[in-house]
Amino acid sequence: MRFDEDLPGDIVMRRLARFAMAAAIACLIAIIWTLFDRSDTFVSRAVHYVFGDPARAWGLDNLYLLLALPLGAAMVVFVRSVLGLQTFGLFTPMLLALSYLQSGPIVGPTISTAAILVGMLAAPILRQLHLSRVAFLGALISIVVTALGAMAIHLEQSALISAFPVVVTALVVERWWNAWEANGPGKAIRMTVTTLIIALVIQMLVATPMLINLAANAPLAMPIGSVILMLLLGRYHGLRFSELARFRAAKGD
Amino acid sequence: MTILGMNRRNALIQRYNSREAIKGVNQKFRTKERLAAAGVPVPKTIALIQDEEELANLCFDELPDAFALKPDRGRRGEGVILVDGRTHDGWKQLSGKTLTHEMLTRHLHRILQGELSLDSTISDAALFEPLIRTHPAFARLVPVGLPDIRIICLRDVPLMAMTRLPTLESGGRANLHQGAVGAAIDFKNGQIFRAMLGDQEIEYHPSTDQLLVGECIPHWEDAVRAARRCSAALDLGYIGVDIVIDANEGAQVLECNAYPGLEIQNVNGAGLAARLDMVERRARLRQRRLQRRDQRQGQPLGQVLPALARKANLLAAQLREVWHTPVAHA
Repeated sequence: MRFDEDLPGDIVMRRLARFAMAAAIACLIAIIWTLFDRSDTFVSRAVHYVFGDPARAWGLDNLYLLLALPLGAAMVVFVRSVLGLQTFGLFTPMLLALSYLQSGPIVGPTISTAAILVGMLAAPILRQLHLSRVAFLGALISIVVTALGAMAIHLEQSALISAFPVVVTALVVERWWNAWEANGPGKAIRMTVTTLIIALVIQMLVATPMLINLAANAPLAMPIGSVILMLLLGRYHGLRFSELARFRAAKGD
Repeated sequence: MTILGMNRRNALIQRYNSREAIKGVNQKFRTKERLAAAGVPVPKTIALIQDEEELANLCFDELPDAFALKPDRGRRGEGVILVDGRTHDGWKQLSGKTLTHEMLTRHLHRILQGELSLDSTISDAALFEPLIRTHPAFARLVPVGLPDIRIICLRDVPLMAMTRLPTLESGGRANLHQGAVGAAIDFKNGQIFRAMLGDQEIEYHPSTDQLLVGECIPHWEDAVRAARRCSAALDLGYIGVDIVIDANEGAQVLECNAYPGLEIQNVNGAGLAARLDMVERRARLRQRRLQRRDQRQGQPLGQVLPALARKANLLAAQLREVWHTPVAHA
């Protein structure tokens, strides 16, 4: 990196990104604090004020989640081929969002992100042991699942211990490691953040009352609409949004 | 929009490049044989080591003083050893280190076991080729390393060309993402008309301070001719051809890429999509014209029409039969 030649705009962007990261991590810690230590402190009061009760669940039934799955897939297709953002694994964001929807709006993202962070911290240490790749991934996933299980037991959240969120979190850590190996740490972290944000957006979209009403009245409308949307998006051959910046130098003609 | 984006490139590759053809270019030796059969100049093969037995029979003294050793299914120049000149116990590598017989044997074992290949689960072969010595007019531009030319073709029509010039920062590698200079080449006369370092337009090479813009690529016409033959030889409709200019042999195709990157558009300051559209439109027109000529010559209308009428009558008779067959009501 050539910091001395960077434009002021780049420096501002980098600082903003770092600030946002720090804020997100602070939020994460505050929420985890509130979840575990249920006493009434200013931290827990602030968290309750901003996010509501962090331990609440969405309370959506499983049929609705199944019907919403194609919509999640369509969102991922949109993000990849129209916006051009890179996530790891094709439908990891969709699966993550589904696990959030199963365990709760705040507790889901918080716990799974914390578990992924545990995996990210464990990976470099595990690598020092020079294990075979399979053993390495197995150990990594086990550590993550153990952390997740420990948190779930402590929180008495049965929704977290159900197989699906655990499987998804383990999957994310494996994909994350693949991305790390293929693209290097900087890009892997950026892809992780993108994946998490898209999962959050899908979660919010799927839980909107309008769609829940729609599914109650016409159960197949959402899946069929999503398939049609994906068929259309699959034929989109124009530039991705991110490519507008990438090919700035090519706009000569 | 005249710029080719990822979406359309992927659709293009899906349409023009078959799966087998894409797999085919991963094998250097097979690719070279197919290219050579089509009259494309490629580096000679000094030796091909396919298994441990052939390795045991390899006589080190018969190897030349300068060579390039590559894994047959290597990825992006990984596992390549370049040597130039002998020492008392081996060869001198271009990186300055010595390559002893022992090191060479160990490296060959690693290649054969597939450790340095794209798909590391299967065994690979090792390929010895003569060392490429870049044409002096071209080599003058760069501090170290092998500058190459990338030409993107649709079938036999060249669409866009650039040369990738290594810098000290790129460590002698001709990779734009690692800091090599990309310079756009004019098809008309082989002249560099634009040079880019990252997203900065430059005129002089950052490491050698040579003026790049206006510089002519030696053997340019041979390079273009070679590139145009690759598509048919390898059955890849959309192809990126990598060419080097050897001091003695001239233009030689080093590698063909079934997924050529899009960065060439930034280097050229122009989009590929408009050119693709034009080539595809012309191909369609030509095909339609040929079809029409075939119809005129091969099948006069007088033969086509009665044949059609016969078919229609046959069909009508069958329909009538079906229509009039009584249906048994149980």
